[in-house]
Amino acid sequence: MSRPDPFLIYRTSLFIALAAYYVVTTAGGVWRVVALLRGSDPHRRLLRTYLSYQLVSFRVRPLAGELLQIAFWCTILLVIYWLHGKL
Amino acid sequence: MSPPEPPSPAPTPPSSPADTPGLPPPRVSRLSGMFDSVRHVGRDVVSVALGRLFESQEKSPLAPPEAGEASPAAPDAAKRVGVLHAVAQQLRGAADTYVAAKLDEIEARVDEKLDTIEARIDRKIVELHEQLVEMRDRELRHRLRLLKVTLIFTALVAVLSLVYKWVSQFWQLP
Repeated sequence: MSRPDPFLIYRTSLFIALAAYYVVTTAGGVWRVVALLRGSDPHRRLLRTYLSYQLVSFRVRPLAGELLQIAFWCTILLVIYWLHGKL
Repeated sequence: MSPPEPPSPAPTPPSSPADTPGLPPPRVSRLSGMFDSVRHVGRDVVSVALGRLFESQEKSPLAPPEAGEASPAAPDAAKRVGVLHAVAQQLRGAADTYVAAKLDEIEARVDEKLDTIEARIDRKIVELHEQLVEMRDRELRHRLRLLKVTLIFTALVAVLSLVYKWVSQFWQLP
């Protein structure tokens, strides 16, 4: 039986830990937002309407720089993934 | 907003601010009903006061004698009563006009105050909205920056993994 590669173990465990953290954090955040917006009283209704207006009036231009950098790093990641497949 | 108009002895007082030029359009509110009732009460008070004054003048020694009584002073007394009646009528009209004008002036001032308060509330709402939009953009920029840092570290780990894979393959070749 061959000896397990420690780097592969490190990489896999890091991926699993980060994926679990992401799922738990995102699910908790979504649940908190839903609990905050749920309800039929006038204040919640006004809050939902105001948030809808905020979503509609959102402009990407002030955040274009950050979004472009994120797209660049996503491309880098895809290229590295492709190189992993080539090796 | 025009300054409040002085009381004029016009026979028909302005019933609402819309009748006078320069005043704001009529506001349909509880204040209008309150001002109408106050205006009616003021007219009633003036009417009662002048009516009592008129009655006291009639019952005074200057009042005309009873019918059938032949008195040389009867025409003078009747004339005096007529003059007093005319004066009372003019006074009543002037008082009504004055009260109506004052009430309109008060109503115009209250309307002006309400408009000022409303404009201040609107300005505050706009200011709060701008602050919220600014906070939203700042929070989004912060989150995107965190995402970018996470992506950079992920790419670094991926590069490290790629190098490790390449090196391990290179050392396995011989």
